[in-house]
Amino acid sequence: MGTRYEVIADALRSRFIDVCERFMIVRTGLMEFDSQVFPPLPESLKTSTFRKLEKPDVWLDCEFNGLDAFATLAGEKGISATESPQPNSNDFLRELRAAARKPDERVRLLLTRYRHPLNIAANSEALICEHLLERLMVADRAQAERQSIAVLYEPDLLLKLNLIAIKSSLCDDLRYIDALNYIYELSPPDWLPKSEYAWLFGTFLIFYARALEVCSCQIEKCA
Amino acid sequence: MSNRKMRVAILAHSFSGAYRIFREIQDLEHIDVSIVLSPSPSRSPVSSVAVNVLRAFLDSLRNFSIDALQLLAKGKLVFLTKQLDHKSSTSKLNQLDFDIGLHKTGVIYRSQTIAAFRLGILNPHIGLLPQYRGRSVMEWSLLQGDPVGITVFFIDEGIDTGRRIVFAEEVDITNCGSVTEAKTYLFNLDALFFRKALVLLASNNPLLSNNGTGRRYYVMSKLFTGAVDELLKTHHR
Repeated sequence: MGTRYEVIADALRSRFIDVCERFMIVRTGLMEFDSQVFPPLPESLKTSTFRKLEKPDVWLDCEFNGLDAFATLAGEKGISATESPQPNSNDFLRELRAAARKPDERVRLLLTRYRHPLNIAANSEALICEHLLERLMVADRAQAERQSIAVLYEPDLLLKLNLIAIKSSLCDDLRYIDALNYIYELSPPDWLPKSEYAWLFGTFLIFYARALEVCSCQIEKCA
Repeated sequence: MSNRKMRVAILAHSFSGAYRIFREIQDLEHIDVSIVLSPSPSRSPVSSVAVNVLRAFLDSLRNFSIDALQLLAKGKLVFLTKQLDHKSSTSKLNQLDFDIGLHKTGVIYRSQTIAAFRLGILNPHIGLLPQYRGRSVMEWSLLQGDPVGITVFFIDEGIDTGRRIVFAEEVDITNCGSVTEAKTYLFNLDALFFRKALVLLASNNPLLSNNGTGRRYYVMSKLFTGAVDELLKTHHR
């Protein structure tokens, strides 16, 4: 029988295989909507060799708008990054909380701040990450369990899932990856988002698979 | 404290759950115990009261005891017709002038309910505070290789953020072979832990401080719960 680390790593690896299979099914379904936007199948999903992402030490800016950056990053392509002045995180958290009942505004705020998605993993974003985790695992989870995941406002949900997936591959706090585990288990295997942001479900699955792979490797090293 | 007995109310939705705690603490000389039943959120007030009267009757038969009748006769079995946070309920609680509430309901209390108890409401949280706040904390402790235990503390409106901890104690659960079994085991220790807390409070034992440094945990996925189950099985063998 394995150690605690081995048991956790085995669980993460088994989910990795499941997520890759799900990605292939979802990809076929979502390509029918818009094959231009949907990220290509990264070779890394087949070989489990992901490009290493680094937690940023400084605030990054890039040439893309927020959504394109997610697609590019998920496709395992590099994003040219430049250092930029860091916007205040306390003010942002206040704005985000104030928009609790305005999902469109929340999406706008998140996309503006995370033009470069890796910024979500910066130390300065710790309280914002806690807030997103809480929203996902309290309000969203409760509503999805009462009704279904399909009743949640898709752009807000998918954006949060993408950001938390990126964060979870760049930190050792297992609460983040487990929030993804939980929401993944809540979504029916044949669920396909319907909004114009539906392709963000594909990028989420790629980031989630990456996080599972990274976490299982880190945990194996501890064993 | 004066010679007045400490007035303690067990706050519950179901008579059976409250009665188990009542039996554990009723012999403590320094306390005067009541049971306060509020309607379960999933039932109407009328059916909640009816079900609880029936439970009280059945428990009396099962235990060959007239405790329930005595409590009722002495006005120490109180049926609230509204939820605990409702104005009529808090008004009733204020009239009853309790010192301490013992949490056995499934609700989060608002400030007006907490304030209806002179010292506050005690919660036997199945995690070690301040490190483990929130949901599935027993599972999270095991997953992260930390000790499992119970903390009895005075709640506030936050999620396990109450500043005053009466005591925290590690609990050995290696006799449990699954998450379900381990949680049941810990939850069933509530009466014993309430008793210990009431004894400590009577002896003016200094309270510990919950400094709020811990993380808030959320309900655990099936994937990780399965991993914790496997860990428990391994220890159990």
